[in-house]
Amino acid sequence: MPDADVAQLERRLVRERKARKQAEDLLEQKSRELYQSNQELAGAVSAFEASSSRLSAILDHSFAGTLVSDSDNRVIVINRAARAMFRQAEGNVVGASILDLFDDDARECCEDAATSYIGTDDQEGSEVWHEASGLRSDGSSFPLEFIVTNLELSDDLHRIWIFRDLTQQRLAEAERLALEEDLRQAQKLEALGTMAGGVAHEINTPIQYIGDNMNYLRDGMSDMLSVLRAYQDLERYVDVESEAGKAFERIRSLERDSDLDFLLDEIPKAINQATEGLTRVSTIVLAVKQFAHSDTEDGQAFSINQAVASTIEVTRGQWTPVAELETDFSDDLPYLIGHPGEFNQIMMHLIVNAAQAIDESGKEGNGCIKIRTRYENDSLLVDVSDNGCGIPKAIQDRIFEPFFTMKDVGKGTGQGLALCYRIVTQGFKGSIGMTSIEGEGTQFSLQFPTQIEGLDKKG
Amino acid sequence: MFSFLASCGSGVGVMKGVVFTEFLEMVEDNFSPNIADQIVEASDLPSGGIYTAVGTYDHQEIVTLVQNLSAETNIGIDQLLHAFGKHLFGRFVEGYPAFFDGQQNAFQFLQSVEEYIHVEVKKLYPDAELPSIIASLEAPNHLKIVYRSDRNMGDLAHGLIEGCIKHFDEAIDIRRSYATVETGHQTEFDLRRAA
Repeated sequence: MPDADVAQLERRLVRERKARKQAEDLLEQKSRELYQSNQELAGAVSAFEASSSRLSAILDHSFAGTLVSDSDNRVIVINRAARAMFRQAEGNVVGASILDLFDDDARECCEDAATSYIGTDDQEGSEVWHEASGLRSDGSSFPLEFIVTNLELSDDLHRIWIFRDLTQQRLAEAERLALEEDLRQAQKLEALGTMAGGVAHEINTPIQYIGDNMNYLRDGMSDMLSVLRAYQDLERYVDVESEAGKAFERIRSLERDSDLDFLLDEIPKAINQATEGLTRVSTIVLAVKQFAHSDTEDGQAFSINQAVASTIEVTRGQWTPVAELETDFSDDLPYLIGHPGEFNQIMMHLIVNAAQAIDESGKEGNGCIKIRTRYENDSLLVDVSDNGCGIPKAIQDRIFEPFFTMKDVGKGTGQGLALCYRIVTQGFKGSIGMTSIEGEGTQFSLQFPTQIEGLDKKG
Repeated sequence: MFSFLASCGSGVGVMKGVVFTEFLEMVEDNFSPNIADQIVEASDLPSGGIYTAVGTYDHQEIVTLVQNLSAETNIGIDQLLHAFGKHLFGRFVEGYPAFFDGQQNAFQFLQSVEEYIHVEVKKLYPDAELPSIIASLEAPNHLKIVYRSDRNMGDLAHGLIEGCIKHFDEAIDIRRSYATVETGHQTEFDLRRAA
């Protein structure tokens, strides 16, 4: 081989070796850079994962139901609160249309809300909350409100949906309205009670002196009758032809004209009947006074037997046309602490309900209401039973719901038993139960814990 | 290998080593190893003519090598760059057949360079400064390509386009026009497919 060729090959060999070395150095350098990049990438991934976990945890701990969707309203992320709200598993929702979470009627509203800001200056969405009806996985619907905001991520439009379940709010609202209605009723009753108490007080005084006078008249009349009998006996000793005899004859004539024997028999009876009537009026007046007694703010100790008796008297006009009322009062009861006015209200509702049930059953001739009181296991127990129409089994678990009524329109607001339930459970911390057989009758059983230990005054 | 296209980039400083290795390979194949050695020796290059395909070298060195090859062979620089372009495209086809999947003709491929191939080049060489190759289909048989670069490598681009046409075995007429623009040089290629 010529020397020139050898020299050329040697130069080329040198270049190739150096190129290889250069490539190896470059490879080594790139390997280091790659390692470094990997380290940085691993750190970034780790930081990203931590950040993602943190964001996910924050999202999941938010009380507001939150979803992220794409611009086609397909769900990308759903947080725990939203899953609980819609009772959905994550896998069932992600990828599905967010419209599936709305009631049929609410979907249009949802779509409108999602697109309402497009084309306006407000590209992030408006701060308007929309009310709609949500759909749970079990098919039940519930009230909710939601707000939609826009988010641009990597040039893609995303929507953030925040939901609030309005179920509790609506219930609270209904409860507030019911309480307001109760308050109005209570104010009305209080006014009526005050008036009734005043009237009773005013009647009580004349009733007392009328009663006293009737007693006086009865005693006086008895004395006068004795005197009259004595005068009548005198006739036997008088000559009929004498002036005295003629006077007696005129008296006899007057006796016959006035039917004196009848008067002598009936006047004492009339006085007794009037006295009985006055006693009855007096009892009613006393009952009204007790029933209308104003409650103190903190409550007071009172006799439930006395309270029941008062209520029986006050409601007498309601139950006497349809039923007999039997009482079985234990006379060994401690006082109950609370508001007697509220207790009277419970008893009034139960007695009136019982009378109406009997009226509806058509058992007027054989209607019977029984009220029993007793004391067991630190609790005062009151049973109010009737042999009325009873309550159908299908609705027995709803009778304490507000606004539920089985009475005809206009006869009941559906608030009576709900009010009883609230007063017993909240006012007296007690319980109320019911057993009923349709067509045979109903019994309400009330339990009132005696709250102050050592208070053993007997009622 | 598609970094050939990146190597024709608009950056004024450096150029990918693959241009140099492919250039010297072309010289050895088409002329002789001796001529390749001679132009390397004659060029007195900062790199010493030691190139690896994955390295990066001063752009001026390829200019010097082409000038010296021209002097050595009495062939014009424009012709050499043109031939080099065609050679590069052939190597591109060999190295990256995936880029030709689904490509039916030269017009279709040339239209994908900016949106597809350059995107892939950027993934491998994020710092690559690529030329702008805007292809617009004026009519079904008429494609207009505007090539912009700081390096005035219009002849190389021409060779690449011809290599492409040759690959798809089409009869396409190419007309070139030059312009100097603010950002460097602009070459327009007017391609008309024979009816």
